[in-house]
Amino acid sequence: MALSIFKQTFSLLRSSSLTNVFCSSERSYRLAAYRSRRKFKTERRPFHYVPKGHPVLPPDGKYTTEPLTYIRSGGRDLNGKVVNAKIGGGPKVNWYMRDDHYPEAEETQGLEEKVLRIHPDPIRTAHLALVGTGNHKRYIIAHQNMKEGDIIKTNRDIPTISVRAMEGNSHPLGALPMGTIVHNIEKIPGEGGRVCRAGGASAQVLRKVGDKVILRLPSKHEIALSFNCMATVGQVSNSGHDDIPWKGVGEKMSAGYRPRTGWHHRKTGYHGKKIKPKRTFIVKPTPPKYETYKLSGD
Amino acid sequence: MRITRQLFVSRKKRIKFLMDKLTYKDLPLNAPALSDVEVVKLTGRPEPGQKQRKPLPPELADDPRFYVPPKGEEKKNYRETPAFLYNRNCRFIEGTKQACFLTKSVRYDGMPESVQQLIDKFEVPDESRLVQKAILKSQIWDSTREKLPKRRDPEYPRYKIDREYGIPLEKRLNMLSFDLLRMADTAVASQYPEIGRSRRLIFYPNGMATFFKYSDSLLSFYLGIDAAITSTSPLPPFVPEELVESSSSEAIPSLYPISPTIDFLKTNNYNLKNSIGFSEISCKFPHTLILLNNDDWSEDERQARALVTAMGLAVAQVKKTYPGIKDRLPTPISVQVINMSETTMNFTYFQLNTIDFDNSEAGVKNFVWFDTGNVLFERRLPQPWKRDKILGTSLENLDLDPFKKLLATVGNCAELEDSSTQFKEKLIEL
Repeated sequence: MALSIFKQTFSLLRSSSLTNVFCSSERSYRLAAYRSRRKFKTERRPFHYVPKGHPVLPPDGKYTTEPLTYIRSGGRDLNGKVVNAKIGGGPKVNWYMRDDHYPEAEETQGLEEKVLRIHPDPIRTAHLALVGTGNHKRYIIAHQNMKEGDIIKTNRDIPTISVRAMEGNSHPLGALPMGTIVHNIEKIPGEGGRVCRAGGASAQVLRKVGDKVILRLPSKHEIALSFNCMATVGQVSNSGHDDIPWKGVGEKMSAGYRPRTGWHHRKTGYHGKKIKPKRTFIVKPTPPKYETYKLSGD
Repeated sequence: MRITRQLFVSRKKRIKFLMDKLTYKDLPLNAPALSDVEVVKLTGRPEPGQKQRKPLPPELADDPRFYVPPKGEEKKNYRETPAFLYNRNCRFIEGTKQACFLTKSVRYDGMPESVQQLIDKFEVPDESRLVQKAILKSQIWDSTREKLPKRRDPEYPRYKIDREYGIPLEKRLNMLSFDLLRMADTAVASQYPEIGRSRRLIFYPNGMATFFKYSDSLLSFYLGIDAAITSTSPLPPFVPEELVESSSSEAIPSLYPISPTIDFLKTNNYNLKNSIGFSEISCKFPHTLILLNNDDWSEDERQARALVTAMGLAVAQVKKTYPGIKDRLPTPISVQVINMSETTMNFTYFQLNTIDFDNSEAGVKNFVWFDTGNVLFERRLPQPWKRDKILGTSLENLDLDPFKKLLATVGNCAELEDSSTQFKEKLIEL
């Protein structure tokens, strides 16, 4: 299924001039394609194709802990036309730059960081944690049992004996024992965490085969990654955010979801005026498949 | 520069305007000969290779519409080594713990003994009536009517409260605080009338700045103060010298793995400056500083800000009186700071004994006294979803203890400045 979608997009883009883009996932490739295409004719797109909004990044391009403005798309395309009508509205929120990259650490010692503040993220499902060392502060994903005042370590060593995994610490996958629960995993070493960043997500290390480590993702797929990919131990915070049901349409509208339209929906036999009469079912006695004999009890 | 109509007109129209103004005087008199000129075919259609527009004449060099500000490296302030800047808006993330580690100071809660003895010494007649008058003047009686910022109550954040009009926060703070200061000044002057000559009350002084080295990095402080009381004679230390020497054995809690300069701004564009801000002719010693808290910070962060401003001013004074000193001072310098918000007052008392801030373990330490959470009155805002009968803000629970503490701090060491007592003592000696 995924391969076919990839081939479709690739064939569509052959005509347009797309710059060389290196993406680690199909989703990031589709987003880059969406941004590079500029068509005058719009098409309706599914829900997850259109981004909900984008932040206003600083002109320096450097990392800041200050809150930035977040501009909502409203379901609009780059041309300004409505591409998805189920997105619109919502509160004005601040967008915090979350650092998913793993810092460089010294050999054998590692890098120690202290947790300063924990608060929920207005746009994402996972909570944010302010963390600092020396003269540098940054925001990271908070795991389930995080408290203010904890100390977190990052180590880039791969010893022969597996490391005792403590919650919050980050190690390469080759150093972790089998059965550990892990989040914020890198697919390509040095790229930054990509997998398991949402609230309550976690992956499990199953076994090691040769030069690769096999993980089970929350979608129950299995993936093989290299030893040098970094990951943090533990489960992401805010695991019960899906269990709370919506109270009604008003709560959804105030959060940024619009009601569904009747445009381009699949019509089934339920839709429309019922002209045909109802089918009458006749029950006939069916003959038995085998001959039956009555046996006298003795 | 005289702004003409030409600047506010688009580029094409500007050129057309100039070309229309050409007269026979602007044309050249000497035309070239036909043999020197190349004959060119003039057709309306452009040649097949050229699809671009013709190049227009160059723009003005000083056009303000296309002004590009210089980058950090092109400014005059650029230095190669970076420095850490402190400002009034620097919010310490660990609060007073971080400030105590920076200033190498031992922490005490409460007021020092020399100040606590002065609480009931100074009196104001009709104290409660005058304090209530000052509060009501700033909260209700003033006739300004401006748009106040939107309010959201944390108890029920989805409820949209109506827009309110009234007195803004800055004005409320200034009126209350300066009224109380003047009352304190008169109360102290009734017993020691020579204060009128030996002291000075300055509103919004500016120019206070220092800089020094801290563990292979430059720190520069630019302090913002709202009011200051200065005097001709310096404040004596709060504590005798025996305790100062014994403080070398006490320990300060560490901040590992954070450094205290985590909230400072790191830049390559900075200016280093060392100045007190007051005049150097008269009243050059600081007595008390007053900071007005316009922000929604916690009390811990406000006290940390007060500590760092006191430290900055004391270090600026030390650099002028003892230019080459590095370690311990011969006489310690003491500064008082009052933090005022709408309803609460905080006091800090700082005594500087050393300048060696690098070593946090060895050597003599400085002293700090914190007195936080003195509530003058409570301000209850309306909550319309509760169907209370109170529609406006209500002021409750007046407490006069913080006002008495204010009198004690302002009247600290007024005897030494009073020259009449010095004259009497000299007479007794004779």
